[in-house]
Amino acid sequence: MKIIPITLVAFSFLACVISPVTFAHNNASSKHRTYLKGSGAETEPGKIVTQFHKAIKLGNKNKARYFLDDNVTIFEGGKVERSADEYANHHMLSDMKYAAKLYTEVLEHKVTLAGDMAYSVSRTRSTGQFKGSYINKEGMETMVLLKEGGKWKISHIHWSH
Amino acid sequence: MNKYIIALLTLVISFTSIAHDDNDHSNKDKKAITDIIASIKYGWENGDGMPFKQNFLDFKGARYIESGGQNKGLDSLVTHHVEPEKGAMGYMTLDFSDIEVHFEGEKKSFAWAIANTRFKAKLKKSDRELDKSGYQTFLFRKIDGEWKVVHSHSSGHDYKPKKEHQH
Repeated sequence: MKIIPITLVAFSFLACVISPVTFAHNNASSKHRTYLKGSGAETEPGKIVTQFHKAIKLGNKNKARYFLDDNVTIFEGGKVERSADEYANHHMLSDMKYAAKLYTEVLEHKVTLAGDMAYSVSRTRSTGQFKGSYINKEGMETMVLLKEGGKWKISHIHWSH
Repeated sequence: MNKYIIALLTLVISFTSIAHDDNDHSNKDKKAITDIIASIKYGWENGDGMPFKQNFLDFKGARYIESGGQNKGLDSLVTHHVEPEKGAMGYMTLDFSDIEVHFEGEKKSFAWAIANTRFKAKLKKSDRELDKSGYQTFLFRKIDGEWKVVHSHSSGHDYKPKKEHQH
């Protein structure tokens, strides 16, 4: 009969220990990127960069696609995608799954404006569990943004790590 | 009637010469950019920092990214990579292909170029041969009439030949 109270106590103890850890892990991976002050993230093209990443993190395909120029060229993982639709229908989906599971810290970021053109360069560190493996990777990103018809769009992305 | 014909002809000739000037200008700029890319190839292959010093804009905050790592500033790129890497290789070739150049801005004073890359080398220490394919991004600004690289980003992976389509 003593087994039942002992089991209950053990379960309660485990629940107390595991819950905060799980919560903390979920909480970290659900956190959005925080951009550094003065990096240019607050500028119009800078906001496109931050909103694009937010849409990728949240798995919002239409919104992420909206920020891309139709003819965007994306270099990623040794592969190239030469239109927004090509990316949206292929690699974007795996990028969304990956981003949803990890916390990405922005280590460096700089947006440079030159009239109707801008470029964004950033260095990040992504950490967390993905497909059973612990990820701890530094990543580099270069983006070219162009303003056409009053709207900023991403025309080129180069990702590497 | 003749007045109208002359006016029309003048207008057509003016537009044609403006368009021709624009084309000339664009071709000249495109050649300047591809010449810089060719000099970068020469610089890497020969461990010569001079083409970088001549064509890269050295400024605080300059970032030159190579396959996941970055060089802060021109000096870091030249002294930590360009010059020593050649010394560590028995041979080294770097090829840029399918170069696309885009000019932006009202004065066309900004350009970005993308290219495919192929890097082959042999490490002196281990005799290991490297064969990598990848991509390159260059960002340029025209400063005092000269194009300067303000940012570069390259990434590469072990070369895998494309599988032939089998019927």
